[in-house]
Amino acid sequence: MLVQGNLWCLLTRRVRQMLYITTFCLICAPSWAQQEQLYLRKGPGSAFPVIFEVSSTEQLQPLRLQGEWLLLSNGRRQGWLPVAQVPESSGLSRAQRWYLKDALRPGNWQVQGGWNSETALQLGVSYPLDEYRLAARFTRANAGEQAWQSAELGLEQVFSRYAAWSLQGFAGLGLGINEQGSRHWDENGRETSTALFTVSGDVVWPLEKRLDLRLRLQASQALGADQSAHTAVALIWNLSL
Amino acid sequence: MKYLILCLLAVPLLVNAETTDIYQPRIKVAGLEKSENISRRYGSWGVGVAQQAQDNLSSRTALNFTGRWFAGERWYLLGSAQFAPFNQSEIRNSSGQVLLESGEQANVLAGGAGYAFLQGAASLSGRTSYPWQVAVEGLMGEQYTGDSSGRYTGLAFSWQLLGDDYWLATEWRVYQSDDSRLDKLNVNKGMQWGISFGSYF
Repeated sequence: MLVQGNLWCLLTRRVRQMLYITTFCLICAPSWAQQEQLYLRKGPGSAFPVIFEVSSTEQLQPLRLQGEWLLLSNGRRQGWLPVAQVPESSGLSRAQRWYLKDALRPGNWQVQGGWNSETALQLGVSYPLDEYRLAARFTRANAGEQAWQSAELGLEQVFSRYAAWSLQGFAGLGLGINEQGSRHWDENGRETSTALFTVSGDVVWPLEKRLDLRLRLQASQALGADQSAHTAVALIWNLSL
Repeated sequence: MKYLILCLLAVPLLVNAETTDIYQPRIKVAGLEKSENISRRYGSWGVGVAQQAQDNLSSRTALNFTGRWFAGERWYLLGSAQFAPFNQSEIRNSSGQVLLESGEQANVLAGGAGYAFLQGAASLSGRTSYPWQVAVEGLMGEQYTGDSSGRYTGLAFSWQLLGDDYWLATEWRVYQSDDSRLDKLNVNKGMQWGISFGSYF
């Protein structure tokens, strides 16, 4: 009986010790986790060298935002840190956090530019319209004596997404202008203009949060002049403002 | 008794309402207060000079203006305007027809994208260092030469020293114009190197 009693005491003492250690660990773990080191860099990019490190609990003053990077100061030194890595305990006010969150959100307007296999420059702008995007595009080729251009207005829509990639389509109506000497919209090289219908499909590859690269397959059908049809492949950079 | 009732009625008239009792809500405005303002940098602008070495023509100095819009950590969109003299003396063909008039001007309007593939920090004294980056830039636009014009394409490498408020860059660029008039004379290609200076917006 006595032996059993001692064993029970020993066990309860062990259990009590375990309980104390576990409780201590549970209390201390969050504070250890909070005290991560932040590595501030010389410039707003992950390839710039780390110039100093601070504790995540240190009070930091935000100075400047560039892209997704924030220039912070601890009163003695300054360095850049991605906004996503700025800890809650760094001393930023709620208004500042709201501002940063809002600033990082891509805007509604998109601008794009690139060139196509018809040796033409392409520029465009788009804005959301319900589930579509209203898009205006301008294309110009100029080889001195043979210049032509076209302008189109239409709708864009995302058809499918696969991981970060997506497939988009466009259909629009526009105007093609043929300058003297060009045989693009007129076989005889006359100065003329024609209505046209254009469809295109974009394979979209995101480069950055606001920037993507698009491989565009497009076809244009002239509705007047010599009713010619043109197909082209284009490489387009698209930026969300 | 009558006077007492009159006094009691008059007392409230003598008591002034305290202004602190009036509800005066503080107007709150969304956004940052002045003390917590975070400035935002969207891009950079600059002005520079470049020395152009043109095929079959003497070299010349160009003045250029550039604008860069930061699209991310490494990518940026680029706009450029360049003004340069093109040739000094006129060029005629064998039958005496003037192909290139004397003193023509070559102006370029171009846009494109840049990608910073190297980034680092540079220091002369060991005390102060500046971030720098090397970027490759692709440019497309139009070159207006005299009375003709043609598509302009350029490929450039740019070393940019990024100060807090100002930046300094050196650039090396190869370019080509598809202007058929210049192409026939074989004066549509060249290269340039230059220096630019600017600030941010």
